[in-house]
Amino acid sequence: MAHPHGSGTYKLAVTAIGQSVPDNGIEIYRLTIPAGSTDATDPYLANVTLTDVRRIEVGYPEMLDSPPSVSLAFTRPMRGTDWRMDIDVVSSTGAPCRADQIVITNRATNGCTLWLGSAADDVRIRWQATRLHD
Amino acid sequence: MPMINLIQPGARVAPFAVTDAALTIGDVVVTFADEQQDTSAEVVIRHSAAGFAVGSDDGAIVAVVRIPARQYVETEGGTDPMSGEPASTREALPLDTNAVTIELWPFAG
Repeated sequence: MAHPHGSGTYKLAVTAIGQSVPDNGIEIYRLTIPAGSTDATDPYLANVTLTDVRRIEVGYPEMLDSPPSVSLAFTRPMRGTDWRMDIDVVSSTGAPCRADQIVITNRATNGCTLWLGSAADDVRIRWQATRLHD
Repeated sequence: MPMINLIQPGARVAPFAVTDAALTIGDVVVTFADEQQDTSAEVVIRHSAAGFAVGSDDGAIVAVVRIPARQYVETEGGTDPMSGEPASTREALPLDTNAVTIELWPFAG
């Protein structure tokens, strides 16, 4: 992973095994290490797989090819998919993020997915889903 | 193999089978390489009274498959037949299924 360091530069780092990428970090490669891999069995890391998980935005800033997507699951499912949602952006880093830059997709009875159409990172929102006569 | 995330660890999920190439839930098969596009793709499997379905607008989500955008390598070589200028060709790289993520949602029915 990489995280911003100083002005316009990035510092590379590796998380501990099984640890998720910390806040303000960008996941760029995923390492898969087979069981029992040690200095003795695999000294040159030949059996370690490197997976490229970078998001490449060739059309930026006109369009986003791979907007970040997160899932939002309701604790109690609704009886229909015709609910409405209010989103309040609490904080973001790197760039401003308006509430209308968060796109609600895949409306389902038990949740939805949200796309982020902004250059902002680490966006935190408060949301409220309502459905009359549920 | 794709990475599997659970929305709610410990909750029951829909009966599924996953291989390096495809995810099967009920009678729905999602073949990762077929769903890949030039933009990132999100394939949602839902469950409603009609059973499991992909791309429906109704029902509850049981799984979300996220497939990264296709990547290309550019090789220089040859000339453009029209203008005679040096040309390059773009070739799509095969999908690395390790970069696919599967999200399993709680499933009651």
